[in-house]
Amino acid sequence: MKIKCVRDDISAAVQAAQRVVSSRAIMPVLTGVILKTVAENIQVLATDLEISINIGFAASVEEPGQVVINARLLGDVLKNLSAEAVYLEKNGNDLEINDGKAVFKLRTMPAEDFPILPDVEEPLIQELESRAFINAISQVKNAASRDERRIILTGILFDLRENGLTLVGTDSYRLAMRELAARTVEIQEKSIIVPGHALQELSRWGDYQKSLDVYKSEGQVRFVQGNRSLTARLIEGRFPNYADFVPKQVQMTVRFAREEMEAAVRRMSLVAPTIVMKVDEKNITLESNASEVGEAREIVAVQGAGREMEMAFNADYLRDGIGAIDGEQVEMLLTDAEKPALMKSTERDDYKYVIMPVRIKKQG
Amino acid sequence: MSNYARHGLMQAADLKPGTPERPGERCVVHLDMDAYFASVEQRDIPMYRGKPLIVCHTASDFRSHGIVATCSYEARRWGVKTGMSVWEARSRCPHGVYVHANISKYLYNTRRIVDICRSYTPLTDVFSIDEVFLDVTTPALESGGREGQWEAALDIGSRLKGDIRRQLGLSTSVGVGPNRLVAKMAGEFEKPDGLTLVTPDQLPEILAPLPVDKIVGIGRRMKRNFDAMGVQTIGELAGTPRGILQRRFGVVGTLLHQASLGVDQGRVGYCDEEDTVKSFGHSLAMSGTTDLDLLRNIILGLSEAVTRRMRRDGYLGRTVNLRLRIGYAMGYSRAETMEDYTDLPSRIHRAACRLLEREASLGVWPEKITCVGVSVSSLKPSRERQLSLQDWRDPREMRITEVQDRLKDKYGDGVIMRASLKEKFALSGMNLIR
Repeated sequence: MKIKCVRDDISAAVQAAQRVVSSRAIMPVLTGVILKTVAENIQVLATDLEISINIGFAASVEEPGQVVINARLLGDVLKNLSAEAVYLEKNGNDLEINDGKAVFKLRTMPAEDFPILPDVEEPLIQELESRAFINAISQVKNAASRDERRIILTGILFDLRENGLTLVGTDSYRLAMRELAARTVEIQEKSIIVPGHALQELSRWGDYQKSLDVYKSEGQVRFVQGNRSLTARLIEGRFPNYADFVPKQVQMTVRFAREEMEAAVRRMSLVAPTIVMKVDEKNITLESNASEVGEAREIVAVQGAGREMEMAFNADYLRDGIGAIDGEQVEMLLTDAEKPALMKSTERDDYKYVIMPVRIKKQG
Repeated sequence: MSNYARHGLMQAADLKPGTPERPGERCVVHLDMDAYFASVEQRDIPMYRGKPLIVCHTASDFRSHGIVATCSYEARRWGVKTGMSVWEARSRCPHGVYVHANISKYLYNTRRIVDICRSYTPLTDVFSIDEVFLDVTTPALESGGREGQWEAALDIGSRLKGDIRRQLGLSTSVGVGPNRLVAKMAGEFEKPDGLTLVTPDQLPEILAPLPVDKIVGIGRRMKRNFDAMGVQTIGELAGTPRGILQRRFGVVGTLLHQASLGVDQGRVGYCDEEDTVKSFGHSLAMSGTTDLDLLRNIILGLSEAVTRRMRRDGYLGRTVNLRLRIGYAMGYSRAETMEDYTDLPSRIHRAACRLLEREASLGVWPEKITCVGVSVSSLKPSRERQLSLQDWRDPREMRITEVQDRLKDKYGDGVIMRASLKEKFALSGMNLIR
């Protein structure tokens, strides 16, 4: 293999691939990235067997071939080179990197040890608008669980229907769902569960000009945006039936300004992780107290409160929900102190955040 | 006593914050109820007085399984001891009177005893159901001054004994010393109805000739270790260089060496604050079974008892520990940490059954199961409980448990129980809630 390329192109590709390389790889070769020539392009590929990333960029290929090299080392070397163009050449077991001034000869790993990754070619969704999709992911992924014992809940549900897609995340204490227009291709299975950390990686793909395509095959899903793609193993199992968890009969709806409430919740959370909300005719009084720390209280003006109600919520869960809502005004639908509350934008219905309260036992 | 040992003890006396020239010598009283459960029963039921009375923890009859909780001094003459299995006690003392332990009654008496102790000093530690430590330094100094401090402490011990006898009709053994360790050992010298003082000056002569297992914390196994080292008396332990003990036993070695010198840095009266609850557990001994359905059912009963106490004390737990005793010698435990904190019996039961089934499927039990225990740890207070969406969709168990708790609080624990537990646990000590 012998190539010449732009340093920023290869450096960016290796950095991105590096993120999936596990520091505790089970096979030595998995600490590496594979560089492969495909016509006049270079493909950089890394995997931890759960997720794999593939990034392509243009280069001038003098001699085709492939090489596997330690991801971190290669990333660090490329980052620190000063010239704009870089030459890479494989000589025996070494990869020579030369930018005209500095010359590195780095040991490589046997390319034949690198696992063969599955082809994921069956189209699932076509031409998703990147910005909308990535925004939707950020709206639901905080609600997903991080507890590996509840593996299903660490994933995000993609519930597909004709011309649409619903993304759902829940950790059993709250549930976020976002509806999205999408060109879904007819499929047998109506829903898939995509690992949360794969979507975390996807949410860094800031190239909003290009649209996203989604493919699937047996147990795998693949997201493609331009010349980069991410493949992830799907989570097997039954996701909770999310529609059941959306409250249908509510006692009252209060409306408030999103930013004001979010800031107030953040202030209250400085004292204690649980916030008591007291709703009256005109206001919501937020209170937090921890006997060994102190107390805090703040009043936020609201509209629409019909009667008095008192309930408590985990401050982080509350903030995750309020922060994820698009628009200036938030609607909060309340039932009682032991039933879920629903939050959404007053203007649109495509995002819903359901949150269970904290039950506080009265002293004595 | 060897010179070496004597030297060690003298050194300790020099180091100790309690030698006469140093201020701040503490006076600690240790109170131990004599044959506690048996004395309470004999006090309440005249028929039992003067008879060998054996109070047992057992699930059903007094024939097969269960252990002796306490026995009266009359029974001790026949060789019956606390912790002995009921059938062994029976073989030694067949004509004894065997009764079930009534823990809630004893706890009521303990509370009264503690109240009496607190009338002497607020620095009171309840060490067990029948033992209390009191730090009486201040009252002793007030009435006796620095010179008469020990006489005054002894006088407090004697008044305490009198108060408990008059108010509760129970006999106690009291030890007085410069710290908890010595006070407890002093109390052991004369039982029942004893009152013994060991002052720091007397410490070396009194401690040195005693066998090592008189020290709290040295049991059968530790004694075996010391036998192997040729250490038989406390004096010999004191004479053993601390470095050797430290290398052999770690931190415990240092503590035991200090103990052999009569040193105990622990303070009385701070126990309650530091002592946060770490786990809740219940166990049941039985005659031996491999019937998984029966074991599951027993685990259900244990899970109910454990979670009832958790709910009453306001805790949620996440780690379930299943303890199994196989035959009479081998015991082990397995634990599982659940996804979520709970105080509901069904979740604890499910987790414990998973552990049981896994162990059963390994097929490594050489004998029958003779004891099952369920405990829950990784606790957090239940004052604030994050409800889950599942709790909202299916609140049945939470509701039922709440109603059951209210009924039991009002009418007693026997008022409602699972039908599947009715036969097996009707007589069990398991459902006795403190």
